[in-house]
Amino acid sequence: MSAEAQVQKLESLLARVQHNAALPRAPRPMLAVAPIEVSAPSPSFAEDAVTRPIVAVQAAETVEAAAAHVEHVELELAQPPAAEAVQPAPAVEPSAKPVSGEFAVAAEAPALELVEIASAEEVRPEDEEIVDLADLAVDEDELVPAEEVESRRPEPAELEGEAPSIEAHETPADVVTLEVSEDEVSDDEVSEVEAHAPPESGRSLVAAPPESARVAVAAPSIEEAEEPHAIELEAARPPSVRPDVVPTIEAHEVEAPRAPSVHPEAAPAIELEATFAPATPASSASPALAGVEAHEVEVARAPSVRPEPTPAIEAHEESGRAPSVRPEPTPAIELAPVHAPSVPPEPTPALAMPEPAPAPSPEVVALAPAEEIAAARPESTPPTARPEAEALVELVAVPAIEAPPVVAIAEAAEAVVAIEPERVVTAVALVAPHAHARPIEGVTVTIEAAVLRPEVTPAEVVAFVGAVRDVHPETFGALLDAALEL
Amino acid sequence: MHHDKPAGPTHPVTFDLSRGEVHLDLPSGEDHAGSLVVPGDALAALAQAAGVAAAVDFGRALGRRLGARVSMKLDAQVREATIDAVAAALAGELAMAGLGTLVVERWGRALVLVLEGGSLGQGAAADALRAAALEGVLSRATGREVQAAALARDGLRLRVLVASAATLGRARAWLDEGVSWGDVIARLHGASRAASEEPSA
Repeated sequence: MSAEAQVQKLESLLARVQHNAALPRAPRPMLAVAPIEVSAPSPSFAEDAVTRPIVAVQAAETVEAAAAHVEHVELELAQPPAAEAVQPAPAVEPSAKPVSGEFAVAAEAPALELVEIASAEEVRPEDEEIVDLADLAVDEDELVPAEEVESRRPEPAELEGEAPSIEAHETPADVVTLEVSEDEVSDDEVSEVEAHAPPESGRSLVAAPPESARVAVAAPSIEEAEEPHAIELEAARPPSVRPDVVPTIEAHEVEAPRAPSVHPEAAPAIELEATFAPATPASSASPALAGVEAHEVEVARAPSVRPEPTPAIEAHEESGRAPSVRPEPTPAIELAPVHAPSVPPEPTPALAMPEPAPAPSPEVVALAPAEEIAAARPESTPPTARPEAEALVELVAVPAIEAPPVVAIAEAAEAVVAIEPERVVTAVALVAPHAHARPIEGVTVTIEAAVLRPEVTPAEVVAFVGAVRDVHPETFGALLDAALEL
Repeated sequence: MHHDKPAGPTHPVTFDLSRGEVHLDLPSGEDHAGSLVVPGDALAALAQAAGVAAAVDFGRALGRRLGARVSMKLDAQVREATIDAVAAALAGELAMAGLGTLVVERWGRALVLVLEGGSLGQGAAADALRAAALEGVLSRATGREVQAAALARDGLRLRVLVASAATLGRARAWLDEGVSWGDVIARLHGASRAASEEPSA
């Protein structure tokens, strides 16, 4: 090869270097020089282009750095012949701009086209040539900013025509098109949905009256009832059907435990555990209990109500007995105006009363002297500690020594007879927690005074019994007024 | 007009899932803001942190809502209704709100309401909230301002005395002195009788 040819070759290489330097690359500290392929080799270079169509140039930060540090340029010789090399690149991928501030070698680049860099495996070592850039005598005046070089670069749009385009329809897996045709939804289907999902058929929370103490939730009757039960209120999500047909949960009376539109076969009614057990007021036990029990039976027959026993509806007696004990029809508990600062009036339930000892007389109220009673039973006695029956007998015998005050019931006969004996019994239990009263033949009352409080006199007991008649509120307003006037 | 038939909650709660709202069946305009289903222990903790006064205010507001429902169930004739009917209506509403079961006790002339169980947690503030709720229920249902205060707690059972403010003041003073609740009621009756006999003497 002559010297002139070598000069031309070097010039050509320099042009390639300049052109490659102008190509945008991904931002990185090194100046990127993209490989190029000679698409239209010059006549003088045609010979070499056949055997050296691809040139790979290592990059440097700047041209000066390239001149100073790059000692040789590796010429990569690709295998394909020239005819293949001139074919258009199969794909064009615009690179990023070079890092600003760097300079690329600008020169009159020949009409070159971009090609892919051949793999290193294709390089044949024997085809490599070492080119010393120091001999290229690059003039710094020829350096231009990278932006200017970028402007000389062919636009990607110009290359798109050569590269095969990839269209969305060729990747159906990535593109999902949902097309909803109005024709697919027939009017019949719409009408069917409406027919199966009337507004009241959504989710119905059926609550029973307080006596039943049950709340039942009926399943929805809509078509998607096979969904895992959206009846669970915690997980309830807005249903997918029309919003006007589902979302409301309404409570209905126990007489209609299922919503009228609920299909029984859709899903069984879900019942919530009873959250309340309304108590019958103890103030008037028997009528209220009768009503409650009747209602319990009614609830038990309801189809959607769990056949388990309804929560206990108990009328607690004023004496605070155990809740499980269904009280006797004890009327209102009346309290005597007693003065008992120390011992709380732990009422004695009539049902728990032991059999009293033989009374001196069925119509006599025998009361022990207060002093002796106080000595026999100190006040430190726990109020809830009830004396055993044997102790009662002993205590009764002690105070009978000194003329116990006996109050004939006749003194208060009028008062006692006017009220139910059960009320008297309860009242006495309130006044004297350790005394026992027992109705006899429903008219008279015997009171055994085992331990009476010292301050409670027989006269007060009688007065209290008589006072029971005074409070008989029939309405809640009267009861409330009496309580507020206390 | 006496209501012998116990009144129960009908259509008491509406769960509007589309809007995420819960509504009580109240007279028109009284539940415009909706209601909440709140864990009882969380509410008790909140009441404890807020203090008794705040808990009382909250309980009274809660009770007034329930009292409105009681009044509605009884056709605004709560005072004329029988004790049974009112007790049943009160018990139903309180139980539905998770405040427990209700028992009405009459101790002489004293009116004692007993709340047992319920979802609300324990604590002094929670008891104050319960008592205030009962106060609000009765005040709203009967149209007469009443006062209520916790009288005693026996396990899960809370006794609440319903009386006038003056009576409750005396009762609180005796309770603070360590007087048992039964004696407090007895003293109230004694004081009342003494007060009634003084003019005649």
